[in-house]
Amino acid sequence: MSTADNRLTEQVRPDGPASRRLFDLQVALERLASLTGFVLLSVLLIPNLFVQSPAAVALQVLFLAFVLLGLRHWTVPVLLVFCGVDLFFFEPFSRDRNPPLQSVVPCVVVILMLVAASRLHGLRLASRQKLNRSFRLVKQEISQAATGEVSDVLPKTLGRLLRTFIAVAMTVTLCVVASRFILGTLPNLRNGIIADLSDQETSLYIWPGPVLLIVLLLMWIAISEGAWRLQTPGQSRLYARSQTLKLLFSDLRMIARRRIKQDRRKMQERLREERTQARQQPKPETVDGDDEPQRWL
Amino acid sequence: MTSRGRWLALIALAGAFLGILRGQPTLALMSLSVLVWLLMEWMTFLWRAGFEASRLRFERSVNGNSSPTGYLWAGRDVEIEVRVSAATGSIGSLLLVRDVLPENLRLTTPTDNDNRPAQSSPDRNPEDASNEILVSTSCRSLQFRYRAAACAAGNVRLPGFRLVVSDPNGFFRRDLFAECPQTFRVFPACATQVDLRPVVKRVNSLPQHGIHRLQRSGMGSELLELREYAVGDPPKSIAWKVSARRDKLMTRQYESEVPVRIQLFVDGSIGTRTGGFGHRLLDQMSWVAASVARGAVSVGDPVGAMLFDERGMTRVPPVSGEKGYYRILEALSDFSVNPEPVVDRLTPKMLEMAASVCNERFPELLDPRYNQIPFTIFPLLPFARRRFERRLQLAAVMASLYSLSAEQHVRLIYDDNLMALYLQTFLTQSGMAWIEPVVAVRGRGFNDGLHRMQMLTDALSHAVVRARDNEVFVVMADLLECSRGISHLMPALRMTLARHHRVAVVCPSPTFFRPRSQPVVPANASAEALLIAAEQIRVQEQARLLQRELRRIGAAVSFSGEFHAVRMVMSEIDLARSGRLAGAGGRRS
Repeated sequence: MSTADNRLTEQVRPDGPASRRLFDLQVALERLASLTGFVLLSVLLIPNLFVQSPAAVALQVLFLAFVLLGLRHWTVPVLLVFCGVDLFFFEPFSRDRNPPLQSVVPCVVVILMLVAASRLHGLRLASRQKLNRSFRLVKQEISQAATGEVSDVLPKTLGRLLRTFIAVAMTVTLCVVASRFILGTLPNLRNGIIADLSDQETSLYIWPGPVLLIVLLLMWIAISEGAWRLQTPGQSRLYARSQTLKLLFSDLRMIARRRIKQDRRKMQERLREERTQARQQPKPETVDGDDEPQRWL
Repeated sequence: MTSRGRWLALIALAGAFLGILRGQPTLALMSLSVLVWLLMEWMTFLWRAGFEASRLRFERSVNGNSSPTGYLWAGRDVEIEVRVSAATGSIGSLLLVRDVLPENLRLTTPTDNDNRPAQSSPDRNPEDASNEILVSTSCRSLQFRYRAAACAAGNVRLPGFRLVVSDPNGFFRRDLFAECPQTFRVFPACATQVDLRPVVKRVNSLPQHGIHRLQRSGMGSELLELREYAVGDPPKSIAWKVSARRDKLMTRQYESEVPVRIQLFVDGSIGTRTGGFGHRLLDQMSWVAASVARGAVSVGDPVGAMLFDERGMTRVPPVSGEKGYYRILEALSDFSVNPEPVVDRLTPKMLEMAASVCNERFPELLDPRYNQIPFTIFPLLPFARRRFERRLQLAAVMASLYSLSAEQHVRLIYDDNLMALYLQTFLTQSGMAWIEPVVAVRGRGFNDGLHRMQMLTDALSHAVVRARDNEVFVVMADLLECSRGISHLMPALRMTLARHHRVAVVCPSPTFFRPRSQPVVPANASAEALLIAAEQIRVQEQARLLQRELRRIGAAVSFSGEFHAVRMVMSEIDLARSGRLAGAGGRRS
């Protein structure tokens, strides 16, 4: 069905089902937003990277190259490595286990950049469309809106995009805040701090994060249990079968191989008998000499 | 988790570890934040893949019909509309929904049936013709539609929907399959040309049984027209007075009042079923049979059929009218469904194809968490080990699908013949055509040449026993590939002609067109061109031989599954109706 037909038949009603056009536009807008966010956040980040390094400019240019490469390829781990290396070499040692509040903002910016790059790439893979098509689609919608063609798809999509952006920003902030809380409960293994944690009387280290471990364990159990209980009957059958097979594989393999050998032997004997019988019988008269022998598939 | 997610998690884990170890809180915070972000994405993904996906409801309507069974026509476009809704809550993103199409159904675009090229519209979106949709934002329900067409007569089973649940960042992905089966019987296509008949004869009333105004069939009492004498006209039909007045022989042509019974013989042996849907010789024969039946039924002639293959013979008694036509179509449709092929050897291609179909239809059964592989030391080489593991997984899926015992399950791993049997059955039941992975390519005419002749002889004999006078027997069989054994068929054909029936033989060719009479010249000196030319020469020679033999005894022949064959058969029916011995000029085709 052509796009023009879609416009007529797939108008999005307030409570109606969503259509391909709505999803396409959403993907296009989200990709463009991700692209913009990725580039802007990268540009914002570049001047603050490797500032104390003598080869700051070269490293920043290299980072920019990977950012540009990230528009087409998956370079998110490399970008994270760049940020990590910068912090690894130039961040001063701190006795405070809790990261300062000033470090929350750069972390949020870095992770937002990673989110934007990941979304850009993930949506490209999922939609299997080039970026040009997204540009064209958005341009088409805007030109339609400009010419006065009333369509509620664009405002709806923009609204959804805004909600997505807010949700992503809040999630990332929440992640950073949660990480800060977790870091506050974890021990710092640097000598001085470990000494603070040691019990002088018993000369044993005091582990400050048992609650965290228990929470993690409970989460793991809950998720695993949930995942197992969601499996289909076919998956359950297959799992039981594969477990049985794993236990009895060597025995069953031996039995199966022997039976295969027996079957082959029987087949060879039968073929031999048939050949012998065929030799003993007189040859049937052939009607056409050129015809090849009849053989079934 | 995808490899992207793993890489990111690994780097973040290393960063967090180093940050904590070296007392660098910002590094630790950033890396741990990435890990927490991944964890949150994973939990959201688990929720969506587990709960949301299992609560999706699918509804598919094919040409407005959402019942589990129905009818389709080969070659005609159908509009398929899919509606997806969530039983509770909403459908989250990203979710790819793909309607799994069997091999006998191909996607079409609106321009497929137009003369305009597909690229004529600059705004055309190729995704609009797709059978899949990417859900990029949460919604309560969604719908999409696409067009498809059945390639060949038989049946079409739409099994369900392939779902790919992933997070927007591409870190997690799970493939699922949702059952939504719909089975359709596909009627064969027929010629769309309005005028199938070369001679003017539009209306024909079917009299009651036993009531005929003339003793001889094919010659009515009502004068239709006078025309010039043509070779083959019976002398008694010459209008002497008019001929004397005009000084040239004139023939009276009467309106026929007795319907001509037509018997269609369709060969469904193994050789006619190999090839992709729409490219099988059987598809050509079904098209010719349906077209002939349409033309005959439209003027009130009863049409019957004898459908024969290795499984036996199916007889459809001659019936006229629309009901009879649809009975013929139903029989042809059922006959066109490929049976399970006979066991063949296991090939790597077959394994690949089965793995591909399994991945499409049963992705959850290939999940390594459930389909666990027992430990073995051998094979040691990585490629061989990968092949072996894939075979173990396939064996587990086959054992699970066909409820095999543990011993048979292990036998599947080590017994190639047993594995081939189950894979062939699986591929055929999944709607795959008889192409190389399903049946091995063998020499043409090698397998079933004589047997085909015997089956055809039996079918002709059966039909002659039940026939009345002056019937038309349309034999559609792949005789080209076994032309050297035509002598086996000759007695049956001679007997049929001796009983005053007319015989028209239609031999379909793999290229759909008649072998050319001009000398074949290779397009270039490449090996491929030479092979094509050699094949053409071989077919030409066989066609010439067969044509000479059949015409010698008075049967009409056509070597194609195209419109020419239909016209030839209709001419024979007209000759039978008019009582003439041959067409104008004395040539039969």
